[in-house]
Amino acid sequence: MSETLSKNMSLISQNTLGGFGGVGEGMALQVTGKGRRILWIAHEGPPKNFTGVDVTDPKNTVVVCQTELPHQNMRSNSLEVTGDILAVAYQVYELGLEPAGVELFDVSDPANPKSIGFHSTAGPHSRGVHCLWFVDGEYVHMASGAPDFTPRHPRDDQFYQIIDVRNPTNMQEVGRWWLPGTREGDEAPPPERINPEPLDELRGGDAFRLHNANIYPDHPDRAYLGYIDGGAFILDISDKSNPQVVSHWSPHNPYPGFTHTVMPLFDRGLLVVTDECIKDDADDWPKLTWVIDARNEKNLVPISTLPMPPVEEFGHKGGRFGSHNLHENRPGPSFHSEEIIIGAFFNAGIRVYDLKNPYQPELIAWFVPPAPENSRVNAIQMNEVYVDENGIVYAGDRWAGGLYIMELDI
Amino acid sequence: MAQAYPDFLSKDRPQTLIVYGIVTNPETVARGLQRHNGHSPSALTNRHALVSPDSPGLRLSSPGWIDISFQQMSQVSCSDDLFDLCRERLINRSSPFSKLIRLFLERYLDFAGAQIAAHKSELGADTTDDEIFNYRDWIFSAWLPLPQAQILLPPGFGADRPSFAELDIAFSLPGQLIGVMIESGSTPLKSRQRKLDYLAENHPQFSLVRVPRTELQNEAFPEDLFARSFAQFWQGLTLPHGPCPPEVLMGRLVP
Repeated sequence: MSETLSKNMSLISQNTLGGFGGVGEGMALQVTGKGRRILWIAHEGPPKNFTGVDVTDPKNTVVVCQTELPHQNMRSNSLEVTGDILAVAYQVYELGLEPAGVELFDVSDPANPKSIGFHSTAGPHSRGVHCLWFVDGEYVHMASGAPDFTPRHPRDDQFYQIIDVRNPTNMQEVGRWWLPGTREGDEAPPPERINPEPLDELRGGDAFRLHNANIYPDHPDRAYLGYIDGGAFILDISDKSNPQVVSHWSPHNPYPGFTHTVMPLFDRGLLVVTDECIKDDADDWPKLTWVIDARNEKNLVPISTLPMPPVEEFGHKGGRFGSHNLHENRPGPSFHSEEIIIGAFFNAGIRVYDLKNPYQPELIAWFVPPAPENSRVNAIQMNEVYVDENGIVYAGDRWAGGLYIMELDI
Repeated sequence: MAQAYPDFLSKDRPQTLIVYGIVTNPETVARGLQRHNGHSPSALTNRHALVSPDSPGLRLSSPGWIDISFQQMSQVSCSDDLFDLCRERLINRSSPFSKLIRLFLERYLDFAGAQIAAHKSELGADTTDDEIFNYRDWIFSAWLPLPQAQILLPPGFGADRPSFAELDIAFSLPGQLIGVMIESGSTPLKSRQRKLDYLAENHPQFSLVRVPRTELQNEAFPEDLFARSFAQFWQGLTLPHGPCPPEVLMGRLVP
């Protein structure tokens, strides 16, 4: 694909991040005391840890900071910023390696992040942290293994952990929950596998582990979990030390697994749930974004999916095709809407939906740039998206394209 | 002859079309109005209101909106039953996925009831139930809330197809069009804001009331945000009546 496909979106600028344009699943915006706007970006893999880009002028962005991982056998795929504190997830590629866990940085001087604390979750059966959520300055909610957790299946290692980070030098786990049956010693039977795959590959699907946990400060007693092949869970976390399941919904099977994000729309009684595409060439099609009626949070009912472009057109364009990350209405300098849903759909680019009528979501804007130079695949792979309070869209390509900044005209 | 495009800026026949309720495409409603060959469309139905600057204002008692059958009406035995029916109908005119609009409607209707109770001595005292009406019947004089209102903008707005400004709730009072927007914390969309700005700047009778969501989380209706005449909705009327005058009900007897 050599040309940009777009409607109601236009490119403001692109920044390939100094040649390290593989963007992971973390993007968060910091507004400094001096009014500078720094977009912090996680990388898909080594050698880079995280990059800070000054986006104060979105037409002329500048990399102000780019850090290195301690070694090549790890990644820091996820990050979040609250105030001047940056939280970074460390996941290793082999069980038992270090560092695995979460590190906090003081980024009040964005060019010189200072480590202010590290919480290790390394262990013989742990890969550390894949994804984290940190929006209140007090707790990190994350998908991680732990030194005392032995999963029955090696890919079921990362579960829900709540870390109190109010004292960064002494972070404490204050709560945890895992899908019953996934830990050695559980009374519950192990879950039936959706798409069994070989045990020797740690990454990928066929997993009953946590991906995203979304917790919003104005509803602090609820956690919304995407538990990969386990589907979507709502937990009552009013007692963080003892999370309780409120409800559960899963389309797997017959749908092919990998629930990624569960985003609540509180004023509407809806959930938006994504299933991540994890295979190239539409081998796991269809990977959908579901709209769930959650007016009765104990009885979740799917009512629609976000319309996708034709698989015959996109399925074999290159790389992955399907749902992935959403802009998650997080607090801070962030776009907030319960009607407009903005997502990253790999080779289908960034797509914007009007959910005013949740029974019939409508595609109202999209932006699909050409394949970036030096990409592993012959198509864009939009991996992550963040939208600021002015409606400026920041998106990242998984392999090489780096940061794309777009304007929405809706 | 087709009905002219309702245009609130028209010099000779200014009219405002308010499409309301669960309407996927307001253009469909507008087109339906234009097909009334040779006779005027209704001023108020279960999907739209067509008002002009000299319209008397829309109240719960205004005929046309409630859409009730003779059989349903025959089961109504008192004012409170009828008011409950009005409440149910209004709530169901808004999307089940619009919690804040539904909360506003609940608060507003509770407020209207409380106003009647608070002013009952002024409204005909506590007459017995076998009187033709009692003070509670004044509740049907409350202004009719039109949830999820979409106001048709004049051709001068400049779009190549009919455009509508979106409001959470609209009220039509004599000489006034009140739009209510509930401040939910959502980031405004440029296209919607442009239409709303046009309405606010150009509609001679329009005023906008912004209701912070926190106001709705209180039990009390935020009456301070509205003019005094809004709260004392019975002023200027001589008698109350319900939303289903006999001619409307009789018209529904014949299938």
